[in-house]
Amino acid sequence: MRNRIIYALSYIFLLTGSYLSLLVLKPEKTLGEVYRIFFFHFPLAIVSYLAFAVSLVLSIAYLRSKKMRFDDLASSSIEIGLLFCVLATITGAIFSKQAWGAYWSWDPRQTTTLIVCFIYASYLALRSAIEDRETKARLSAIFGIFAFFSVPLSYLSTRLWFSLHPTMITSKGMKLEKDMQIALLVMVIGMLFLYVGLLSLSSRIKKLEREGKTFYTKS
Amino acid sequence: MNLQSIFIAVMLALTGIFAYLIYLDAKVRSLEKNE
Repeated sequence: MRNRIIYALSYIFLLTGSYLSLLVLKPEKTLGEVYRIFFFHFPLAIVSYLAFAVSLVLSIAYLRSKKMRFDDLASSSIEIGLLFCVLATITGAIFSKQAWGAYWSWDPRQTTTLIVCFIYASYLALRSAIEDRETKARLSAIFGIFAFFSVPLSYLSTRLWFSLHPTMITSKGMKLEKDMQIALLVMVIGMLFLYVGLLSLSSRIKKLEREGKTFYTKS
Repeated sequence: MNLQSIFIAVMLALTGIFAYLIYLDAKVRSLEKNE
């Protein structure tokens, strides 16, 4: 029941956010209509960073307690974070085509985000290559802790190097008009609920599989 | 493609995704009950 409430909240927030960003907000002065993709791009990117941060905490928790529940949650968080990170990269490339004139221009933010995607994809490859459950969990946790160093690098890349990518969050707040901030907040909350719902579902499936129950049956 | 069409496409995609999530949730729940 609790999960269904999370799905429902996520659905309501994402639908409202889409409505606000696509149909209510006025076109932007310089970018026109294409800036609306930002309301999907930013929440995906922020929630993917959060998912990787959560996986860091859970990986440390696994190494300290050796409870498989933490390994289930950490790997689930990385899978969802990677999915969101790839979607953020794709939506960013579409935005960049209109704003900078090319889908891909090896901008520091684009490059470091691609590195984050590759590092976490290799985490999943590592997991699939190890048979023994304990070894898999231990090595994944260690890899998960070191992999996280790429995330602040990606986040700070626009400050560390010259970048075309705007820095949205500064010490003075967000560089957005009030109505845009509201639409963005609604989308971020919706995406957070989606992340929590997916994390819970994925870890429950992993627990069932650990207990020897087959969830995905071949048809 | 106008913005209303994009919104309808987003709405349908979200509905599909959440319907599938609810289906998966029900499947997990039934397996958990059979413990």
